[in-house]
Amino acid sequence: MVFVPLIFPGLLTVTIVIVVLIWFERKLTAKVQLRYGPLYVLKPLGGALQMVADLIKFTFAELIVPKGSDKKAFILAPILLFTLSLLPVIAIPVSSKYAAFFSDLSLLIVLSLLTLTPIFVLLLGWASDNKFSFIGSLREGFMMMAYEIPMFISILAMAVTYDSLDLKHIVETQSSSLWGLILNPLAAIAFFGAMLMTTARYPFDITEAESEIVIGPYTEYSSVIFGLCLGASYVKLYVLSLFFAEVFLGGWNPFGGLESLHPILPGVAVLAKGVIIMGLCVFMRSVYPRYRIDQALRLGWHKLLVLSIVSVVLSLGIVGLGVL
Amino acid sequence: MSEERTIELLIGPQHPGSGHMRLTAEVDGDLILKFEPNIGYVHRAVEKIAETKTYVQIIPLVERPALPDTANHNLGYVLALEKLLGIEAPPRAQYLRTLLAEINRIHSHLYGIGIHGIFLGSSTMFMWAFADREPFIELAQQLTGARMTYSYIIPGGVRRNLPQDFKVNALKALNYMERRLKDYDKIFVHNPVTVARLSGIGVIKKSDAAKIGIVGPNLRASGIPYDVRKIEPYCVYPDLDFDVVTREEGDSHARLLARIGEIEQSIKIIRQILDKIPEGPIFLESYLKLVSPKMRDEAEKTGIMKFPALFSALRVPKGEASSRVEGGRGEVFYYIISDGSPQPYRFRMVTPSFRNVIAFKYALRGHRLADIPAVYGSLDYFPPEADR
Amino acid sequence: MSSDISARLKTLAANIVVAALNRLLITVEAPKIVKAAQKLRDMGFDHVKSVTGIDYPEENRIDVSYHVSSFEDLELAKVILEIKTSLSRLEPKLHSLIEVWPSAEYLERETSDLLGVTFEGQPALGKLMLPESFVGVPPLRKDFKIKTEGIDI
Repeated sequence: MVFVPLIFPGLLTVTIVIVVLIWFERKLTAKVQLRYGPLYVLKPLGGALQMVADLIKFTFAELIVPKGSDKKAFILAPILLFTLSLLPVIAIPVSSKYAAFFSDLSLLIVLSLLTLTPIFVLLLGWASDNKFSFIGSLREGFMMMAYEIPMFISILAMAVTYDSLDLKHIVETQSSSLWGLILNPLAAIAFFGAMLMTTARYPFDITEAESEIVIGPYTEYSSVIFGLCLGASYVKLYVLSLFFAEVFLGGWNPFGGLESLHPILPGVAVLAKGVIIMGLCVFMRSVYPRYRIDQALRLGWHKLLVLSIVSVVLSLGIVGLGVL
Repeated sequence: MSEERTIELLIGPQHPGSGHMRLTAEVDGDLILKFEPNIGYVHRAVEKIAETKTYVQIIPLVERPALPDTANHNLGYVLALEKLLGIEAPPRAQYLRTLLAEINRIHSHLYGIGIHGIFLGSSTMFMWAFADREPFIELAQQLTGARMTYSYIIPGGVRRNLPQDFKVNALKALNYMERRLKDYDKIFVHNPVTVARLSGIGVIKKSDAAKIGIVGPNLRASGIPYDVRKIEPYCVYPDLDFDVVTREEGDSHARLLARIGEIEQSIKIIRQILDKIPEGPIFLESYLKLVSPKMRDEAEKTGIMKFPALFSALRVPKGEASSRVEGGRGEVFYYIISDGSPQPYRFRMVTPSFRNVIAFKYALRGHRLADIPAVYGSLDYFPPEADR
Repeated sequence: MSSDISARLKTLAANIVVAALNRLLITVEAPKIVKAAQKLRDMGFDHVKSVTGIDYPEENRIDVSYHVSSFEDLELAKVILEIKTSLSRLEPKLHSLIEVWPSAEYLERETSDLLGVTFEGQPALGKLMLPESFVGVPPLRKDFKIKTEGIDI
């Protein structure tokens, strides 16, 4: 179907959500830091259209391609990065009757598509002819090593608990029993940590560490493709938040009955829960400094991995005891 | 780039994490093999210009290199000049000088802590520290009339008297700062990420610290209790009660804690000054007699000492003098050689940041690329002050 | 200045003069400076505060002054000792004190840049304050004229 990838929860929704989300991040951070934040664009609303102004600025800025760079890769990599970050949305069902396509493996499809994105970040850094971009993209490669395995194992724990790899089935199971967050909080924590790492939220802002490597792989980018680069990490956050809402927070429960009115209404509940998770992730910016790469790797391998394995054991215990 | 394993990074002047200098680092993966600071980008020839200016024209010249910390530089120069002239300022002026120096120390340390925060990625600490400088800059404005470069201390005394409501405002600012220090503690100083980034990084051992000659809170965080205000006390420091903040570890976190501790000590000192300040003249009697009676009356009425033109041809007796004061970043050293003319023959100024440059080579051995901003911020290095 | 310090210093060098309160002065000849520095370091002076070069074009000499003091010995820290040497203006060469006092490194480099004094033993690391392409009279010498504009009072 074309509605889901393009309108809801696809391209149009993601544009609106990201415009609001980045404004919210800047406004909330500003309130913590005793300043105003975006103020002038739509003054009665407190600068709410700031991101629209920024997008317009990005669109009309001059696109500079450095001389020594690999031109095809330079321009194509951000476009593919953005597309691939948004693609998993086709596999996420927004209600038990509404999805782009239903599949038994929708959980795996979402996660697997997301693991392909760091490759394009590596390509970004390599294509620009700049030492700082190179180091930044290497850092992204390292970070991928840190969070991949805990992410998959903690989702494995949830798949074991619900005995299914289909997101629709998982949400329907949660309507009759406890939500995933309460059943297996360890998996939720491990997945949340991995989610912060993959979307480069503080304290794991290591790929784009501004005071060390200018802005990492995105240094030489300008205009539209720069907007796509930065937007890609927010799009990944959006997709992962919807995913988190469906696996751990009960999806469209308890509004499943609304689908008799229109099949798409329960999706609004999913979106609302996803927005809460996104707000929590962006709030981290005002609280934490950033970690060093080897500390983040150690965190991923020592703490998150152990936590996720323990969560698998917990899941096995839950299934064995027949709590479900 | 075929067979090379190491990358040479020029963290040059156009970099968000470098300031006005170039850091040349050779990295193998993430480990730093060689590290060299390359300074001199902001050299403005203060010493040469001073040889063409009269002695009081040098007062604004001396303040400009170290913008966050102008009063202490001003004070050091005027102390050396007063040694050559053989005069001493009246007691009330000495108290006012110390008051301005301590207010300046507080907002200079807040500047350093804010920069350290943004280098580590904590924009909250940056914004809070710079916002909290504002009460102190406004206090200085009420006292001297200017926000940052005061030119308040002149040979013979100070230029303005204490305003009427200064004590009330100052106590409000000090109470506010004490509350904010508790907030800083929770959001940055003892934040687990900060502690992980800063503990054990950039260690300068006690024996090394004395050998390479670093100064200021960097030296005191390595365990050496050297503070010019206790070793060679000037102004009213002998009569004030404060501690020298020393820490033993010598790493970046110790330097951060030393600066926070010094802010607390400065707050204590300012409270004592406001209680103990005596009444009296703010400018030397023997100089006041040289001024026309009309200007003398006006100075008494308004409390503002307008700068008499007689100072412009001030002839200093032949000789040489040196003085040292404790600035925000460390010890400032002045050495003036005079040959009896209105301009100095040789003017030497050694700023604390210039003496701290060598710490870059010693503190970053064997560390990683991401430690460069952490150590840079903890040393509180200010390139314009080092290059003069 | 306490008598304890003057006693310690007098045993070693007879020509230490008290210049002012807490300021000592010792004049040393250029070839003997390393030995004098080593003796002073063993006495407790462990760092250099400043290296100053003073140009006297009429007398055809350049004076170099080292101000040294101590950090670890808190009694000796109260005193600043000035070591003055005279060099010929046409060929100002002095042996570097970097092996004795590592803290003199950047201070000596600055003096060699701005006054043209050669410190033998300094690893050649390029100019510090001046641009790499600078040629001509070193700036801090008296025969380097600054271009002035306007009228100074």
